Amino acid sequence: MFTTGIDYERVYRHLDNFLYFQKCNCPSQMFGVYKFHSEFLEEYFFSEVCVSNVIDSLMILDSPEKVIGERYAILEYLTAVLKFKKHKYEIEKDYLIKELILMQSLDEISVGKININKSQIKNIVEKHVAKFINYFNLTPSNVTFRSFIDSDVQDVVVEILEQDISFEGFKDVPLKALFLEGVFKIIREAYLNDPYFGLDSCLSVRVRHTVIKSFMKGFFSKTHLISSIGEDDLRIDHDYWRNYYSENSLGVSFEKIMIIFEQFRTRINDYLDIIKQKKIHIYSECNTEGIFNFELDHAEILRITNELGTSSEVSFEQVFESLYELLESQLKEQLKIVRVFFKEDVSKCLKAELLEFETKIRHEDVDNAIASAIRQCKSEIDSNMEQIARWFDFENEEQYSDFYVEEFFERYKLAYESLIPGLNISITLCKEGIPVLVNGKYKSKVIDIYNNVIANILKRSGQVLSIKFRINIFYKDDIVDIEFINDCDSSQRDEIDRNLEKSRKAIAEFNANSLMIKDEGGTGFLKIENILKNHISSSSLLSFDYKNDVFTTSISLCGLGVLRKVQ
Amino acid sequence: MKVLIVEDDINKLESLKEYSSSVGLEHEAASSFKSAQKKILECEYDLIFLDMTIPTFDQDYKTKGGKWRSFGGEELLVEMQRKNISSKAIVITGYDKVGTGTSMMTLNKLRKKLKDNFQGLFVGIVYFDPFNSDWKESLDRIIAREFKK
Repeated sequence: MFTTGIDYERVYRHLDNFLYFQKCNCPSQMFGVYKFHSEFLEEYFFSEVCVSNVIDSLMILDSPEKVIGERYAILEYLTAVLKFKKHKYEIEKDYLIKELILMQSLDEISVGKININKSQIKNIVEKHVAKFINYFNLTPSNVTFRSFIDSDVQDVVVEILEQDISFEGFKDVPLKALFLEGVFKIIREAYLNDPYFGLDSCLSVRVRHTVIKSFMKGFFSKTHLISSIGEDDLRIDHDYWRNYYSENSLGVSFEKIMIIFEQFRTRINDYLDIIKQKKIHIYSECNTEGIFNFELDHAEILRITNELGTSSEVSFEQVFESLYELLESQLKEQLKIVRVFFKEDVSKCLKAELLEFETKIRHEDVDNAIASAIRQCKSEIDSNMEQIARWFDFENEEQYSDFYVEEFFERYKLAYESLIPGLNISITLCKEGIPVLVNGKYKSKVIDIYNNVIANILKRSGQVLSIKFRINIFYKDDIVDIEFINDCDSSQRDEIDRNLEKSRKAIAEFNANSLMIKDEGGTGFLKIENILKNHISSSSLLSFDYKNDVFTTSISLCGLGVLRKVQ
Repeated sequence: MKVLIVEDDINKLESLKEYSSSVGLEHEAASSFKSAQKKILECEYDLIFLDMTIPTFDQDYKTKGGKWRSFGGEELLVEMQRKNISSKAIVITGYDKVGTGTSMMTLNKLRKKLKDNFQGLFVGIVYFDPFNSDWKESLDRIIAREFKK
């Protein structure tokens, strides 16, 4: 980063030989041991020779963290010994620290995203299952469906049967199992489809809405095969390749190349749309491509019936716990399947698309630049799919420690810039009041809100890569107010006004729009409102304003247990 | 006979592993410059299947493999030469050109360059096409020439 035009490989070979003769494995082992002829030579050696691009070939530094650690130690030494260039080294030290923070941030956002609020699901289903549990208790264990005709629970059984009778040869099945199946279906429905707390809502907010396509876009745009800018649909990085070919004057047909790019872009875009709109969904009659498939496990229902049937009277608690456990174990299995889908199926498909792209571009790609970009992209597919696969696991809320919002924004700025290459976020923080910590339990929710806010800002700023926005943070008594302020593209004025009106209306009728929370293509504000109200605290607030081409999104975090006073 | 397969593409790696097993080669794999460097210097291999373009570190979601080395395979040959490693190396590439811009070269040019600079180490280049098995025959021929004299 700090030196260019140097054959690092050649420098490395000389350095490695030199270290070998000094019986050292890395430069830091020479501190204070080797006597340089002059201070100038010592500074030159450590500062200009032992740079990251050279020492990253040293065998002992076998991870990026170790390379950063070694270079940092060198800079510390230079700062302590050769104080006159302190400022220069401090700048590079800051850069290295940012690299490390970035790795940590990527680690934090590459964790399980699946979180279903058990106590909320319990509250939702309790009154709906009461009668089934009552009949479960009233029915003797030896009564089968065959013998129910004369029983006083006929209506309830009929109700279940009218929905769907799925026990094979159900006539000999204990009647109790049918009641339990009814309870299971109600809990399952809430677990999967409740618009505020269900699995589908979680998948929508945390994966489908902006997240997965932004991630994929970032991954392809690193090598300029796809542009970082653009809303949800992928775009070609015309500017990059136009500049590349005009600078290199290779006499290639830019139009021909762009036609092949366009075919590639369309195919990848369509495939990602299928993943987003069809695959990362719950299997249903309307969407038979959904990967999450929660079929009734009759054997398990029977086992639970037998287990519970021995008690003289089962409580809602017992039934809920047993059936919820069954759903959790089913989800665990489904998440495994989804992880394999990304690591194997998606990976294979993207590689095949890249291979086809490369074959088509071969004759036009005279200096191998596009093929080289394709190869790098192809090589990184597995680690990127591994990163996505990690999202499909249960979230561990306890893993995050309490945090200050200002530190959070600074930290995630780096992660966003790395995920969307070329993106340059400039944040101006204004703080007022005495800072308070936010409970670490809510960190992933704040990440979800931030994802939505960034997506909205990108959309409204006219898709320029250099987005500047100001974050004002006000600490009041038990409240943290956060304002995101950004300039908007004036040509989008009418559209922004229209969308704003739509969003306001949707938020005002929040409960009536519950289904929109788990749909894509609607307003991201509804998703933010849901995160704030239902997953952080009901007293948290969202508001937005648009005046003179400036958009302000305001969020207030508050509520019992959300904020923690610094001791 | 022991072979080290230096390859970052999982599919190509699998094909090379299968091939190695089918011809009775005991094999190990490395997917980056660093892991290959470590293995080459720490273990003795009779043969190395070398990809030319490789990442610096084993890839993971945090680092994405670090710096991309267009001629990482050649850098490993330099390391072997410097450290007096006498394993034979066959470059196996799925591309008819390597490098980009001014450093771009065709396979023929690369073959000549490696032959001139790494005598005794570099024993051939094989063009890997996953859709036909010519590469296996090419490998068979080079291995027979070098090891079954």
